[in-house]
Amino acid sequence: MNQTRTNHPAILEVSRLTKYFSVGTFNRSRMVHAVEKASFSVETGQVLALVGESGCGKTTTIRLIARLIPTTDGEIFFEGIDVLKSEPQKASMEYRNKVQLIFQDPFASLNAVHTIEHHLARPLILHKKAVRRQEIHDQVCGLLESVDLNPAEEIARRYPHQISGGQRQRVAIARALAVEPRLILADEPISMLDVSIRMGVLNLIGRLKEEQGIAFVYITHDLASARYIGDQIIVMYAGHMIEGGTGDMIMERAAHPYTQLLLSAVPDPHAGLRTLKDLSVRGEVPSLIDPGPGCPFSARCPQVMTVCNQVMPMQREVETGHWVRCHLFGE
Amino acid sequence: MLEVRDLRVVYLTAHGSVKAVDGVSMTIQPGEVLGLAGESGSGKSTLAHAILRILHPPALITGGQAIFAGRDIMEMEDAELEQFRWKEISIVFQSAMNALNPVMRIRDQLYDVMLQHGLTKGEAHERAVQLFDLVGIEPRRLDSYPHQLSGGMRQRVVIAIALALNPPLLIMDEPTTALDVVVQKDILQQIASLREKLGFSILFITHDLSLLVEFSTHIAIMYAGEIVEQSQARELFNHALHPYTVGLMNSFPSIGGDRHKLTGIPGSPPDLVTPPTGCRFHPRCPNMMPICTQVTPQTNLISNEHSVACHLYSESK
Amino acid sequence: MSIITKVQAMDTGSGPAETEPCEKPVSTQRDFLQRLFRQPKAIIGIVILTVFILVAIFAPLIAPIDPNAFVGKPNLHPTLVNWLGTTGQGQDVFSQLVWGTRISLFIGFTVGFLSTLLGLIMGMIAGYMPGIVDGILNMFTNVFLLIPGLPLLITLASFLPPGIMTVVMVLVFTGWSWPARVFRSQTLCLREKDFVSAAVVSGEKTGRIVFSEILPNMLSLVVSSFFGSVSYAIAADAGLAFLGFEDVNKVSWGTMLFWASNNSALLQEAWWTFLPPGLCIALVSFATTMLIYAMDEVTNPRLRSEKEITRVLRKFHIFSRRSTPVIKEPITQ
Repeated sequence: MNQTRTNHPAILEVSRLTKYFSVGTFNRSRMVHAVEKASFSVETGQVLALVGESGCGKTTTIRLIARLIPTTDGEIFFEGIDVLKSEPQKASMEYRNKVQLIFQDPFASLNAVHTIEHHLARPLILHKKAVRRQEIHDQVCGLLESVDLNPAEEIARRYPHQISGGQRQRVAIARALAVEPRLILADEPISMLDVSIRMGVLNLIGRLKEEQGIAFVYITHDLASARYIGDQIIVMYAGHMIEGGTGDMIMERAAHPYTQLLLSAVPDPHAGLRTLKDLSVRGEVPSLIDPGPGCPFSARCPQVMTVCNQVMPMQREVETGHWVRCHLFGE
Repeated sequence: MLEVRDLRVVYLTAHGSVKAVDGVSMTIQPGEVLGLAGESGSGKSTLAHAILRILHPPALITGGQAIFAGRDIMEMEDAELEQFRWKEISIVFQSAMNALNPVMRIRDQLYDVMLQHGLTKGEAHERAVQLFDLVGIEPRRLDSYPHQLSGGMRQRVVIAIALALNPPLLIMDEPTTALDVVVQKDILQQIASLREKLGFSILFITHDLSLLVEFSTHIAIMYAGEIVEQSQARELFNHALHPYTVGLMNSFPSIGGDRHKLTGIPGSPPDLVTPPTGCRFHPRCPNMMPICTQVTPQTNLISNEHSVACHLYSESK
Repeated sequence: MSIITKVQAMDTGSGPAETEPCEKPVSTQRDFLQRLFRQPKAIIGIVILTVFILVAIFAPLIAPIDPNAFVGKPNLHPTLVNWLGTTGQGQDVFSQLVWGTRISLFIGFTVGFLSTLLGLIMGMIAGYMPGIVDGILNMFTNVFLLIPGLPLLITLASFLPPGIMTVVMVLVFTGWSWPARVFRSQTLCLREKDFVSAAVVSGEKTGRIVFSEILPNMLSLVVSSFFGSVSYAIAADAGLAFLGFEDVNKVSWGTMLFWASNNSALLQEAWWTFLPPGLCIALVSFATTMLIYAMDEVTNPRLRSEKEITRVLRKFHIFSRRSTPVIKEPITQ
């Protein structure tokens, strides 16, 4: 049985990843199509930014890769190995060693009853990075310093409520770094931080990528931060991935009408309050329950055609490295 | 129209009294949109709620005045305040789900405000339909419950309630923060067109500075309970003076232009029980001078409507 | 929360916001205890309980008279010899009260401890393990909750051999389901928290997550529940004894009440035979309730600041809460 792929530069490769949740108390047959056949890859030491609004499925995608929830279908290849086949029941310690997760809410992701030292010591102990108390303590302080939390000794002794939001998120990053991961999944890591603190944390992520070659999947609803930090950007809508490319390709030559809508909605101080009269903004994101076969954006798309309601468009290349799923670019 | 003079608000907590708003002065003229920008702990929300005197215990107003059409809101009694609110100044809260009662129909919540101010039920119903037309919701939604509407629609309901009695001043406390960016744009456009139609002024509170430059006529920046810089919107964007404002501007990545590195502002917001001596921003300021740790800077008018509280621009330099 | 809102909620990005706490967070254990011991309610509760515990321990020193011995004429008023008089059979009431403390408190605390322990085990497992395990345990708990307590107590007590361990078993049997339900809810709520997911992603084992991550966040609830069970146990024990379902030859507050009733104390106007034990039961209940209130106050910061602001407002004669008060004179805290 061939569970491995030949040598790939991609550290993570996701293929047709799908997640449905069943709804309803008695009739459990209706399904929320949270993520629909997501496919993408992340190169070693690169940042992939997943952009989309609420309900688009980006957080669910991350949780599937982190193996916090079971998949409905699809494959996850990590370092070339099909992990869902090799460890079907639950993730191995090795996987947990290499793949880590940072949460959106820095306060909620830390346990209020434990010190910062405890939070960082646990992963070190679990993955046998250190054994004796002094060793553990030294490594904890080292980790805190590596995320610019000084004085490390002082901070290690504190409890989560005794440090600020930005500091908490740095602790969360330090915790992820403790096991020396190869891939960090970051679920909107800065959206709940104060504005002036966000760039510091984002720059830290950039630095970790450069210095330690850690790959990131960075989730956000903010196109601007995706552009700032992402080497590749993928736009998600209603559970589907609809466009992908580098920052410049997406910002300057957005192909999908939804991406264009998103771009025009971002506040830009250089222009006035531009109107969205030509794009039907009044529509809302469609229901994810038992959706129809066509493109999910068809109800709101100003350039909708008959085929859009019938068939989900295939992935097409617009230019090298820039793909889109839209019938406007069909054969 | 609204003049706030040296307003002070404290919160009495077990750790001491938190000086949430410490001597804030500002004015809003008819037809203006004043954007109030600041981060958590800056006191912007507290200020807005204090103007309407709707802060909950343990909050206490300890000084200053808020003069609206010749009357000082801080001197008013309960009965007068209850007539004053919604009719002269009304407010749109951040999360519509917090502002709307989940077990009451929209209709009843809309009527509530109007009946309180002396309209009859018939008049209220007519006005409700009018308002829904104004904000772009089908009148049949009057019978819905809040959870049956989408986030954007709920926020429009809250705006409709705020406009029910045609107040000349609307306070909006982060009205779009909890919404997606597309819905946010839509709502803001709606508000802009309503403003053109009805002519009210707005006190717009947010942490998103880029939004304010697009949307307001004037901007005031708050830090640790004080206003550190105020000016016309364009002017602030082009010539920000206070190091905090400059730092804030440097915290927003953009979707166009060249990609240079942004730094944000180092450090964290200060403890408001014992704030830093002198200028409250000095521990984080790249231009800090010795005087900054000792003397609180005065607000100085630099040019037309542009004032800043910073030793870099004070006469005593 | 429906699945859709849950899925959408996971994707929402917003500014700095507060997450819903399941239980108000307790800063640190030491901090918590320090603040707790400063509450007047806590002090009252602890003092009363300590007095009773000391009385139980030092019973032979405090009441050297044998509680079962017949020391005088029946139903004697309190005198200098018999501080609380004699019972309907001529035993020393004071002695019985002091020695009875041992059994009553023993039953109370043992039942409290065992109910809480059993409730924790059942509740936390049901709360943390999804699906069938939760379904079965939950149904089991609900069945026990539904069965009427007093009839069940009486039924069990009547056919089991009388004795202290019987009483303990019976009371735990009827009393564990309420704490189990409470702990299950709390565990369900805490299970969804990000720090639990973070622990899973770090590679923690389930058992460790439940005891090291979730349980410490429930401590104040566990302690409250413990004292609640103690209170319940002492009262229920007294009730069972009063109805005659216990070994009436052992001396406890409940059996004292049984004998008082049996000997028509009311008719005899011998208040000293039933008032003291009744008062003791009430005092222990009162003490545990005070402790629970005090813990509520410490874990809920809003209650604390409420007191502070009320004091200040009263000082300045402001009684209306409809608008934010304006006080321009200096305030001392």
